[in-house]
Amino acid sequence: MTTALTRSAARPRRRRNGTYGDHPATGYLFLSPWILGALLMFLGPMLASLYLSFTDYDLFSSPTWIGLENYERMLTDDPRFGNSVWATLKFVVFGVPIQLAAALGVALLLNRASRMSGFYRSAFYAPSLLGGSVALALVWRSLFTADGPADQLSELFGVPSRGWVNDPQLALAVLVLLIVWQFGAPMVIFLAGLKQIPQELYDAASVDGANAWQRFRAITVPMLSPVIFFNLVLNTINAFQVFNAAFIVSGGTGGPSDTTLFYTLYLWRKGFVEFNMGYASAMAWVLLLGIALVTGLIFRSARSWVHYAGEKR
Amino acid sequence: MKKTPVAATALALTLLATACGGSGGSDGETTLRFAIWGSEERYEVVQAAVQAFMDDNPGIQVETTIAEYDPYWQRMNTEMAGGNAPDVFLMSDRHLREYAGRNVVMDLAPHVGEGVRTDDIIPQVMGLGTDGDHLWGLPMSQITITMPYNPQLWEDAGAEAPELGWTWDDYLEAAQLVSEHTDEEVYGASDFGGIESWFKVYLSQQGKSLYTEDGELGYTADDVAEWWEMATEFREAGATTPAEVTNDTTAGSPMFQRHSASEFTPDSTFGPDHGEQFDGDFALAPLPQGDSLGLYAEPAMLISASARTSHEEESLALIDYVVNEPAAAEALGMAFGLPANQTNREHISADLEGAWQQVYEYEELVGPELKEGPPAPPQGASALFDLFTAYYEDVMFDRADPEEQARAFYAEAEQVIADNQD
Repeated sequence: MTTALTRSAARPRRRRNGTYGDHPATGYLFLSPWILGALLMFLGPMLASLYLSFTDYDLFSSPTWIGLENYERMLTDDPRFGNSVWATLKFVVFGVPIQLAAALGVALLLNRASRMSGFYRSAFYAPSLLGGSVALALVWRSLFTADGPADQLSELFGVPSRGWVNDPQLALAVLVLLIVWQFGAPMVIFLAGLKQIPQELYDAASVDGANAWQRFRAITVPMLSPVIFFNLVLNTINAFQVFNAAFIVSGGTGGPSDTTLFYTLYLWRKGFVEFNMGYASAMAWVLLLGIALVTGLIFRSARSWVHYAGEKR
Repeated sequence: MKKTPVAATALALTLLATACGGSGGSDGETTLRFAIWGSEERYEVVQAAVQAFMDDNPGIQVETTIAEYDPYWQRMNTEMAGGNAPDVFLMSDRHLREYAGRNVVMDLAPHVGEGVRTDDIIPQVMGLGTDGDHLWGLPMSQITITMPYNPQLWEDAGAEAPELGWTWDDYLEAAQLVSEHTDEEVYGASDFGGIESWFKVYLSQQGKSLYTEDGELGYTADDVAEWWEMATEFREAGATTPAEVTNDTTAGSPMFQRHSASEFTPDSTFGPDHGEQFDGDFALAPLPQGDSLGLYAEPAMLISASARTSHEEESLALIDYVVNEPAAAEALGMAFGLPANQTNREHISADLEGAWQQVYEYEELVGPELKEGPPAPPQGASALFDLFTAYYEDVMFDRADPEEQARAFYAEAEQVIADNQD
């Protein structure tokens, strides 16, 4: 017995020393595709874009240093930049909370044991698998185009329309609907979170006479708050960077009347349509800072509403 | 066995490297990439012309790609910037300086007479590609801005048929009649306010142009305001399509979708390309005029080569063939407009029929009135074209006053032009 224990305890140690420990190079070699990728595809271009953001660069001739001019113009002298920030903020502020609410609502329904719950879970998750795909955006556009299904529906209710995507009041709503519909990923995470909440808490609350809404407010929400926080951060960051949907639905213009000119779309137009890559690079860095700021604010606010189980308060 | 991961990784990296670098022809054959924009019909005739070229030049393969106008330039911009542009491609007036000024278009001037023939090309259309001693491309053909309209609807509505010399007021009146006659089921005209090309004609009618010889703006904010106010007058009178209809181009322009009975098109070959769509219910008319007609003899587009092509000789041969060779002209017919080559033009015009005959007659009608082309647009012009539309959309949707919006547009336009001057 003793020998067996010693042997089994010794074995892993020997393996650690003998096989890999002596050759860290081998480990790095296995990592090299990732490291190379990170350096060549990520860090390099990032530094290059930081440099370019201080230059006047048209993609063809060599860049010339102009200091902070790009940043200055963006903040003081570019009305369309303002339009793009406004459109993006509206999209994030409406899209993300509604998406998360939908995700949580469906997760609560699915959390009840049912014979079909596996099927429904997959069915609700499917749209997210297709994610930001071009095909999906094309379908979306044809749903909301003139004389499309959305028009026919609104006509049914006696409200004539000429295609939601052609109406400055509604075009953004079409894109918000698209992101809301893709609630599958946060839903699955919510589901996992819901399964972690101990049933005893609900039982105890029921015994004390709490109704469903009180149980939701006093148990589900606080217990789930770390998961809500996680989803909020992740989906906010993603929503700021939406490109495909707006590109396809507006045909690359951000129209009608700049109402779907998302930040990334305007950035792309500056770089690849107007040949102003320096300006586009500066925009990319402002976006990065903007997202960092918003994420920071969410983190800060988390102190007052996110509760970790077992935490002393 | 220990070496295996090293070897495997090395192999993987080599494969990656090869995958990135590999391309080019095999067994002594040259493959040219030729990019065009336009309709399916146009692609077919170009394919026929290219086939003729390949038959006459064994050893050269030509891969032709086609895209719609906007995606074509989106793709071209990235390919140019990435250094892998097609060898031969179509070039528009608006993008010419953009590219030529950045040294990515081959100068054909040194090859004229050797490899590239220009003797037989009508001088009127050579202007655009010519820039001092440089020649940035050969004109594919000649086209003229025109107004296709539905003569049946106009007659039913009691509107007077448009003819040479008719005015903007006449247009307003006629278009209003059509809208009223169809109970706004079909509008008399498509809203023209957001398209810079029509603004160009409007300016030209007053003796002005979009750009001056030195690449400055050739108009003032007041000109833009006037133009947008006129467009607003048309729209508010019900003569032109409302904003939602104008904006809906998913399935083609408003007239193509039968929401309007007339519109302007840059391309006199518009009708034949889409003839079936109109069941023959269309005719071509000159644009309404101001002090003068204001139309130019315009090359439909240029055919240019990449400055970075590794197949210079073959690229030049293809350009020359498409523009000058009778076999190519026969295949292309009028798909790009009147052939730029005089001999080919006479040859082609001998047996035209149907819609193509209409185009020819239109060109004959306005031909004597045409002015010499305006200065080529400077760098930044392609961005201004889009900006013009974007700013007008606010006017169209009643979200901005035409005059204020014109000033805002003009300020940005000046800035774009200034940014692009070296």
